[in-house]
Amino acid sequence: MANENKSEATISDEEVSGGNQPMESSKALSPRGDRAIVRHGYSTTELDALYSLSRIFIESGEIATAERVARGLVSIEPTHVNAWLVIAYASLMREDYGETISAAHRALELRNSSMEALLFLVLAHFQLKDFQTGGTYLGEVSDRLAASERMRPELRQLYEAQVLRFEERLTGGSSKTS
Amino acid sequence: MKSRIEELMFHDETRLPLLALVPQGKNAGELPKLRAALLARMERVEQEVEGASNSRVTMGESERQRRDERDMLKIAIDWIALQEDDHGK
Repeated sequence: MANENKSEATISDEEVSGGNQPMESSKALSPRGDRAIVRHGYSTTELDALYSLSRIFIESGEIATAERVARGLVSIEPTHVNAWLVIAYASLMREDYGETISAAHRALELRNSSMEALLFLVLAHFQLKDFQTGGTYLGEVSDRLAASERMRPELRQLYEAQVLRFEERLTGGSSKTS
Repeated sequence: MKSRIEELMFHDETRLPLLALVPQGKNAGELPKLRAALLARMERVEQEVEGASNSRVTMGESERQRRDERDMLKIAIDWIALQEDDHGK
């Protein structure tokens, strides 16, 4: 399973920008850190606004355009988890499940608490008829829910539907969604 | 035409909210204010892409990233222009 990369995933915006606090001398020499170089100087406001634009395109059904914006985002900010989720979504929509899996893994590497990424992995593997691997990720979601991790109602609905698909597969039932 | 997965996820009896897998954005409303900054970035990226194109035969990873960045910026700048047109009407 993916390992959490806390050193990148949990860097706050303040840390990236240098924040307003006095810096130690070592930090003062390189106030914005290496990550700022990767971001090509884009501010957090710009990154957030560009991500929002990508989300708007998804909502309006312009999924290819949403993906182009998301790919631009990860080119300047490779640790942008939500942009990877947009790529996972777009590739799922065009039935490129290998790409969905790849993008979801990137998201999960960066934020191992991402239920969204796990569900993308479930969906993509199920679409590929790989119910064994998909079931493994589904089990991971289940474990996290059992450990009282929070999940938005919409995601829970999606999760429960995938459980149904998996159970129907196990019992040999004819599922409409498999 | 809708893809098979869209059919499955939105049009079966469960009507699954697949869109929920992509978190909401925060501040698209800020984009118009960022127009000048994005235009300046676009100019820089254009120069970088052009410079790379002239110096190499094959596209490297860095050049591909610059092209992706340029593509994103163009979409954003066009979108801002559309919003401004709409508000101007």
